[in-house]
Amino acid sequence: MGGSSQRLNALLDVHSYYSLGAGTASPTTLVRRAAELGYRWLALTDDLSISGAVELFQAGREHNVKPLVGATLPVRIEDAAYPFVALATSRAGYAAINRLISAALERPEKDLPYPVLLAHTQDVLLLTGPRDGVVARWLAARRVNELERLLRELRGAFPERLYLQLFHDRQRWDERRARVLRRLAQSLGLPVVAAPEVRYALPEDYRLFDALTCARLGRSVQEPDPRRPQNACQALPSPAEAQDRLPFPEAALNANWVAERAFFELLPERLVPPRACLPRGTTPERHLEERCYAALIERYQGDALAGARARLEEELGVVRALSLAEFFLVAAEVTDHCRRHGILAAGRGSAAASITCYLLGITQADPLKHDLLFERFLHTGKASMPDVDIDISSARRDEVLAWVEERFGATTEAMVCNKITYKLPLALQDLGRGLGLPPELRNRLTRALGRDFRGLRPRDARKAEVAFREVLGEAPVGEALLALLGGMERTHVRHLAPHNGGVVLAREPLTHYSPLDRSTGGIKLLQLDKDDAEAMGLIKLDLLGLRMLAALERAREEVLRMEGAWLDLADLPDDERVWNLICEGDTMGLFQVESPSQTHTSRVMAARTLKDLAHQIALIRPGPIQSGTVHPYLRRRRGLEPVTYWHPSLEPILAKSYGVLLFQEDVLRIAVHFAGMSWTDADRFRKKVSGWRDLEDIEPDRERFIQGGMRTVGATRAEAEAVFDGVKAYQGYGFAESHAWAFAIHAYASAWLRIHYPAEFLAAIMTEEPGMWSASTKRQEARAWGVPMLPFDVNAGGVHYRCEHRKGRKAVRPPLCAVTGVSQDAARAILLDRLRFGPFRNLDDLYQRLTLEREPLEALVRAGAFDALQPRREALYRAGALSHGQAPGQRALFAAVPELPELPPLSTAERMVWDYQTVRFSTLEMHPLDLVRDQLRELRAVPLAQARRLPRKARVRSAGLVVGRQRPGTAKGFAFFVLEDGADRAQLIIPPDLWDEQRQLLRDASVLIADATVEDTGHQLMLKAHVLYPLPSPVHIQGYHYG
Amino acid sequence: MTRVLDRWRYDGRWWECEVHRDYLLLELRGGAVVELFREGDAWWVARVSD
Repeated sequence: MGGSSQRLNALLDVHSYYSLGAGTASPTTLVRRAAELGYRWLALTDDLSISGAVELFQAGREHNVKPLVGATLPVRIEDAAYPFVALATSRAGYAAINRLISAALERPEKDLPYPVLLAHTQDVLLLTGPRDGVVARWLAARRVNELERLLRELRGAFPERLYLQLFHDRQRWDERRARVLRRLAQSLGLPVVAAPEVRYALPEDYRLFDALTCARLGRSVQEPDPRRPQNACQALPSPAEAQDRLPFPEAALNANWVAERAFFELLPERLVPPRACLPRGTTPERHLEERCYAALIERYQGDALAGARARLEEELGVVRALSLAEFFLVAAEVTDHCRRHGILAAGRGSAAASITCYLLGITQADPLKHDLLFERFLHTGKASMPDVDIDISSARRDEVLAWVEERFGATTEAMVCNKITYKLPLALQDLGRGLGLPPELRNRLTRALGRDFRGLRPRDARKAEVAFREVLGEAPVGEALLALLGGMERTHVRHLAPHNGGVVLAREPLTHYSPLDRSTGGIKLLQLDKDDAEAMGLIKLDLLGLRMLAALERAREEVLRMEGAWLDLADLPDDERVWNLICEGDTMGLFQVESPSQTHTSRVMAARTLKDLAHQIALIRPGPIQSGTVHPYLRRRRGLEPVTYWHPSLEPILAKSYGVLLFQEDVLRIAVHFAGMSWTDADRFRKKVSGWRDLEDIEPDRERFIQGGMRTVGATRAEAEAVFDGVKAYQGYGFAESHAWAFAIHAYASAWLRIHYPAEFLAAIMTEEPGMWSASTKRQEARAWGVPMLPFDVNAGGVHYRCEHRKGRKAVRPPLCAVTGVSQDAARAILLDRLRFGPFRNLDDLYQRLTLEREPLEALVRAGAFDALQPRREALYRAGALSHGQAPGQRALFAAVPELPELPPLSTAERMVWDYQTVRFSTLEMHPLDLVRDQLRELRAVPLAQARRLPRKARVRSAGLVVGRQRPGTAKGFAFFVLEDGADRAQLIIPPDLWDEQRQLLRDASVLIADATVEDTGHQLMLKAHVLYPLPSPVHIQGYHYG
Repeated sequence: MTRVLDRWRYDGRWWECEVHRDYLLLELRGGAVVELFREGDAWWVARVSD
């Protein structure tokens, strides 16, 4: 037998980081390394996971390594679980492995009962497992007879498909054990297979693997454990190294033979839509056409009808060509269901460009009226799934998901997962635990990262050395931790979590594609993310909970309750006052335009139409910001500079956005009409443009783009290069135009409600919390809107913020469950008891009527919910005394409360502090800063209300409560804080040098005094800081923190 | 020496920068067994049994 035929060409037991703590490399890295070493096959056999399968096949194609798919299954035999390696030899075998994994994941022990393994053997090859497998462990325990019986039984269940696995990782006993295992196999007539345990790509990854193993086992590296690796020999070995460890020709031959048997193509070529509900005797295509043409005549008349019909015919042609009629009908079933049940739902994303979606009622925006590009959504060459995102009122999304499961069946519906990759805070927690850092130190280190570094990938940890030194000083463990972090891959997956809305609906049981798991919240989950699902031919519907839709829905219900009017939010009148509000930058509570940067843009943009609003929403995004679109757009819109184009041929595409690149569709249109790409290639190019991180990701497209531009529109090389560079700069997330339109409709509705029904709108946004601002800031804003906030009251509050008529105007009453420690159930119990037996007379009465624990009861008292019945201190005293002498919910024969001592009244300052402790805002008509007003006057810090009247470029010392902190990656080191003083807010711009100098102050301060220059006045006061001073805050405020 | 009974590698306490050791378990003529290890360029006898 020749040397090459004895050479090991296949790796059959390889773990990637999808083994979650038991592997360190991505499937791509492993395949690349296997290719470098000359392997022909690589089997990914992660612990109870196939999450890496799609990436494995994609990397295999790229590197010419044949991928094999399998998993390591812990099989419970008698009293312990033993890992077996299962390899699929066909799609049926793959489905069998998925069913086995699902069965194991269903059990609390996460293992597989032995009889279940024997029930799913079709097209599955079984290897007896590595070091901690049953063979090694039973041999060590001298259970030879039992082992022989087990292997004979397995051979019967897996005829010609059971192999005794040989491994050798240069650990003590490995050499001797391999010889013994070989003899055992010979005695039983079982084939042996060489299958080294590969747990990382390179020997230097061993340290990271050991530290992650320690973290997984809850050990520190100082603690010995037999499950820890002893050396760096579980790296992917060269064939020569593997042969040196296992010099048994038949074992290598068998491994190659197993690999040949096990290879099959996992990824399909086409999408498979779910099954739609159809009237008897019709086809999906015919039913879709009937529905669309019926709606067409209703929605379009006159001249518009012909254009709409032509567009519909074109779209239906594409839908037919891609066999996607059922997909559209299924999406329509979801929105039909929502409409029938009064649930606000609206399609967004690129689907809004489709007249088919519009006519089916999936989306609200008319794509013809707004000139939206259908090809962004679907074209005949599109290999990826169409992107239908449906926003659903967040308050009722669970209801919709439950219906979807009921309608489509439990086995054919599940959510795609998000692969949660390591960011620095999580990585240093895990690796710090492995290195034995105590939790307090790890938490201090995490806090010290602040907004500067918490978004970093672990491999960039050295950029955060300043934070490491702040906490760990010069201790060697700091360097060890940094070295480990630096060795982690950028995409290292820590765990899987449910996607925020991606529901997959399939024609056949989903175990055909993936195992099914349950998240900790009980959501049925695939081990595939959205890209994997697409690559597997599955179609995903995004059913996203949108808090603003819940707020609009709730405001609409409040208006009905208070005014008796039912609002059609999809068809609100155009109102000048709404546009005035937006133009003034008075945008608190408005959808998508309430951030400080959007507030500022609102004033400059001066939107007067939905189109303007859609553009504004799209403008403040990473794509347009990084491509330098924002300022030219705004200047050109105001006529401050001429509209120019990179090339005259781009005018039809970019005229609507004054010559700059604003939407994803613009990139697509340029790629097709300028660079001459097909829609399919243009779609790929668009994805690259928004996703590229390194120049090598995008630069390979340069020449093709330039040549295309020169050929298609006759551009010069310099012109084509300028266009390519302009397009390339549109990096990061940008909006599809269709998406921006869908959001503009909601933004307008929110502004319209704020103008016409401010109290109802305030109650709605306080309940649903759709935006970025805290309850405290919204409460202060209510003062500016002229909406009084009523106090907490056990005889008036319920579960949601509600409007009440008070002294001739509407006011908002906070719910009892807004008090920290009072659950919705407790608030509901109080409400129900009040409805049944009437108002509570005092605290004793409530205590005797309800079984309310002491903690929520005292929290209600501190929040002032008994103020209308008795003084707060007295109520608090009685709550404490009652809970000591009498069980709640019982009437006592004798008074349980001793005579009241003399209690001083509660001062305003004390009340404010109690309010913030229990509710995080105060119903008092004052602001926390009022408590330090005297100190601020002493320091000559003027209130923000006064600062906003100063001219531009004036110097001022002012102060505010820090209610927002942002340091976006696109801002070149600048940070943006929001200071609040009453209903006034200012954006404080912090230059990079001041940030570096005052990093700790800026991370920790609650109140800031700033010497600053006024950069903008009016509603959006903007200050540029020069010097900062801290001031102890009387209350703690939880604001928003981004980037 | 008659044969190599076992060989293994121990990579030490990497977090304290220990270097790795390569071990050999050898059977000597006469039946004695010796465990050797190499650390850097030096060979050491860990134990001998007969």
